[in-house]
Amino acid sequence: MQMSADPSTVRGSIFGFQAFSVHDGPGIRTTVFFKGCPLKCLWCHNPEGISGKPLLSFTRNRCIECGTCEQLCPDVHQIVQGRHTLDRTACRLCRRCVDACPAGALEVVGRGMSAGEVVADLLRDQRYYAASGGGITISGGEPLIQIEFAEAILRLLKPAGIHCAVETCGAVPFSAFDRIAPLTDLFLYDVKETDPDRHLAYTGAELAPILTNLRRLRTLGADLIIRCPIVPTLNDRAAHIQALAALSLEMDRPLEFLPYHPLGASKSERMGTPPQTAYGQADSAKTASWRDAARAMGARVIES
Amino acid sequence: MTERTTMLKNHIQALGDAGVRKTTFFPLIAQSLKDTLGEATRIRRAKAFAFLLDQAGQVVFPHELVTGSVLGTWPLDPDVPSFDLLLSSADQAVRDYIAVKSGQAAVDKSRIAIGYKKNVSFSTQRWAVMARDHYDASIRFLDMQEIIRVLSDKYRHDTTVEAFEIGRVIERHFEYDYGEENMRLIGELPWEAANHLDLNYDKLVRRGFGSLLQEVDQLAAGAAPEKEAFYAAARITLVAAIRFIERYAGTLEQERETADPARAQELGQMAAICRRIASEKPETFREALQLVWMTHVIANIAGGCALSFARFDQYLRPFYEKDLQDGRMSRKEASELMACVFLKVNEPKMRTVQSLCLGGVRPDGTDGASDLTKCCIETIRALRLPYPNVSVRIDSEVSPAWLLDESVQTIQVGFGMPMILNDQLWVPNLVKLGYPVEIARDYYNMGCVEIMIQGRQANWSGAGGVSFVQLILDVMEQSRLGKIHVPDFDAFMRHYLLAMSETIARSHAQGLEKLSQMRQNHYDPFASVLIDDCLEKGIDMFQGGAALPAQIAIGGSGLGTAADSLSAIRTFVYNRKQLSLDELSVVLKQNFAGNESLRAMLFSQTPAYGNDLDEADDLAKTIFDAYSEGVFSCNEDETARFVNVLFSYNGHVTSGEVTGATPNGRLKGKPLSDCIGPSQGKDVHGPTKLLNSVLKLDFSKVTGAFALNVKINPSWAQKPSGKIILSSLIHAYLQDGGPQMQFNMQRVEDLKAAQIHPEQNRDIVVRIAGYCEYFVNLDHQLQNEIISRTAHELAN
Repeated sequence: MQMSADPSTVRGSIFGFQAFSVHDGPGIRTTVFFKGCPLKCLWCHNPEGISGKPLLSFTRNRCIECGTCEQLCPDVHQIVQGRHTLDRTACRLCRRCVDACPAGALEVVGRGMSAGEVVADLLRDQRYYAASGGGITISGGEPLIQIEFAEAILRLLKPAGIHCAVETCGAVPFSAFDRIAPLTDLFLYDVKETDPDRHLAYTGAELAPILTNLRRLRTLGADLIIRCPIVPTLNDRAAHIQALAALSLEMDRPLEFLPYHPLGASKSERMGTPPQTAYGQADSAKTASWRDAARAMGARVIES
Repeated sequence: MTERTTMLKNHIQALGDAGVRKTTFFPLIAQSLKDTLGEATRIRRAKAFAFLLDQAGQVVFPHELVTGSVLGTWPLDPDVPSFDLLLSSADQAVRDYIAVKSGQAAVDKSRIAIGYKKNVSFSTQRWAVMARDHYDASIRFLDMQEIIRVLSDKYRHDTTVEAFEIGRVIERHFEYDYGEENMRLIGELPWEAANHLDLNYDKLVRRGFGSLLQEVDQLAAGAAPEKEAFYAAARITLVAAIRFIERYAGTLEQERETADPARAQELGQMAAICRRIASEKPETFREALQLVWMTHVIANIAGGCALSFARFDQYLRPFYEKDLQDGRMSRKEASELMACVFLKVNEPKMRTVQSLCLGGVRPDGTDGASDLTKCCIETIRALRLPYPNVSVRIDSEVSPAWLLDESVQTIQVGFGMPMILNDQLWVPNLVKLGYPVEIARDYYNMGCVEIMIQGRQANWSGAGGVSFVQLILDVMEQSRLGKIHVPDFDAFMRHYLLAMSETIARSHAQGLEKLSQMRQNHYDPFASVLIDDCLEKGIDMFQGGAALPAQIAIGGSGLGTAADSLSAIRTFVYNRKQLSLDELSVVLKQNFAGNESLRAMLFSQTPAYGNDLDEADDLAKTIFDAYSEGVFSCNEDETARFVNVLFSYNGHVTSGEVTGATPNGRLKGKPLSDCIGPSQGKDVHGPTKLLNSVLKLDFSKVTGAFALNVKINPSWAQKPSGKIILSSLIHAYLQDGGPQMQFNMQRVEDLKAAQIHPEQNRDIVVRIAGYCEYFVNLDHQLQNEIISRTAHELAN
């Protein structure tokens, strides 16, 4: 596809912004979340980002069982014995129930926006970026499957001198990296598992292309942080930590461990995405032990 | 903290726990006033001051190095009844109140003992929602809280009383009665004392009381006859102050006789210092500090409150630097001396919020931050106390980087200190108010966040005020009654802004009236010695003697609640046309009874101020800008300076208790938004979005007080990376002209635990509005309000 002449008109699909994002990349950042992801990680903490399409979200603890939605759309909403039930298969995402819900329990997650609109939103917090060493982060989902949209946003931000980070799972054609590497100050490159079989089992995707892309990206001279979700019982093995440390040394880039948080489990219930197992949470001594193990091998580990 | 300061802190805590205290102030003043009947008011005022000081007990704390306490006039009351008796007497008071209110009993003051200060009132709100404000309480604050809880529960189904009325009856019931005759004498004088200001400690430490007394005598010698009384009164009070400090030297010497050798030596040094500084000019840092503290204690004993230390690091700096240079004192010793003073600001019965201001520029515009500034901040950080209420002034062009750095490190500790003030905003705005720039540069935060000029002004006072929220309800009521026609939202805003300007005009008139009353018979001869120009002019500070006009605040309250309410009216009444304005009025009057889902919708779907949403923030801006401009324009003559105040103290809770349901889905009686902040829990997108919303307001006419509470989550703020993040938030806010900011960093679970087990969580300090307090010393409603502000952080 050809790049549009005016990047601000390029459209894409996102599912939200997070202002004052202080855990993803340096300083004070605003993160924009792109819709759609080629991976299906068992622990995904943004399950609403996997599908490229909008979703109807329902937050049960806000619902006051008033039946307003049922009156508007009985095919989708029913109050059965004082409890709201939802059939999303009949939902056409018309938003009427969302606007009418007095409790704010319903929401459509995912919307189309132009790159210009996204950038205008990202720049609202510009005053905090430079002093804190922060900027913006494009995340998802997997942002690089909407490469035109991502590139357009980065092109618009480059002249403003904004520090731009892109978070990626790496499971995209390398051409995507070729296009945006010159516009990106920092990649947050996720490596979820270092054992190929387990990687396939946990994420539904092959490991090899991800690692190949990582090495190629590095040869382009791109700055990056290798980010590793550590999920108890799945990949909190010493061998995995060691393999990550080795990868970090090979790439000469730092590691960051992301301790699993069971947010995705409750979110998947809200979003109607396939139910997730809730894994245990590591305590601070445990997470420190991963960092210590990697550091013992000489790897640099950052904490944010 | 050192071993000494730890022990002193424990001692002060124990004094607070020791029991209920009853003041000797009222009986002593009344006794003197009886003896001086027939003499001139200001002479009676001065003699009563002298009598009070002469009769006041003198208490020396163990471990302290700087002495002086107000507790000499606050002995423990040995006759406090048991909890059960207190409870049953409060229950009787509530029953009496209900009987009177429902018309079953006549108002009989002797039966309804609701305290000497206030008679039965069905209209005014509560005030003592924190321990420090309930000076004359005849009950422990925690016991009173428990009784309020028990009785609110007992009478919760009684429709004749609101919950807040029960709290009000109880808080007034537990006030000491000092006798009608005594209170009449005091009220007739009337006894007015310097409060909500600073006494010029800069002048004090440069001169000493002896030199001031000499000046009084010289000026008196050539004074016109009408000024004689002023100088005579000044002389009486100065001599009394000197005598009081000398007597403290004697008290210390007496203590020395029974002390162990090490302490005896310290007491001897302290006695020698007191003896010297009673009239001599202080020579050392320790002497200067002792003189400042002793004067502070004297002014508190005399009934002063919210007395500020003002620019503490400016006037003590020459002493500090000289002592360090001469090797007379180490930095560590300086810190320990200051710690003794800061701890004692927290002793029981110190009155309301006492502030201390650090950093900022000097009158010539150069940087005023010094190593003493740094030493102060370090000391404050180690002590983690609610008082003094510390501000750090920052001029982003002049202040050194370490000043923000030290402030941020202190904020990261999580006890709400210090607040940050923006020199680049306040100095030019004070110049607009008519002060010369070199004087404007001497501003400080008085009490909480009220901006005054050091040493040059009489009491800060308030007149009227603008309830942004009530005005909305008033316009709605006018419409409902058919008195006005409000076809569209523009019309609504026209009526609203008109009502606001009328309210400001009324407040202005009230302020002028208050000022003229003050000039009739208010005197404080002691304070007038320490307010610039009074001595030279021979005019009391209350009578216009002060170098600068008094500042009169016309407060604005409930900005966030009001903006959200207007936003709800615009969205649901005029845009979506879901119901008419008059229908909404009726729903609000019924407190949403039977309209729960409408309330839920108003609450959840109204665009809310504090999230960088232009459609809500623009309404806050309209309210704020019109109010600031309106108050600013009250300053056509020179008699007073009318200033705007976006700072709620506890008023967002107490006014909320008497304010009906509001269009943003807030229920009747619930708190209003605090200060410049959003509705509780409605700023859901983090601190940058909140700051963006606030920064849309026009600060060019902000003149009086402004408080922005920013909630920060310890999960990031206490990490090492939290420092740069906090610094950049502050930096960006100051760069873009934000006047003031302060931080609250608490975990909801800790606050909830403290409600259940106050005794185990007494060290948690929270920022309320412009001031900080131990969480356990707050009324339950105020505690809940703090929690509701904090709760949404869990989502971030």
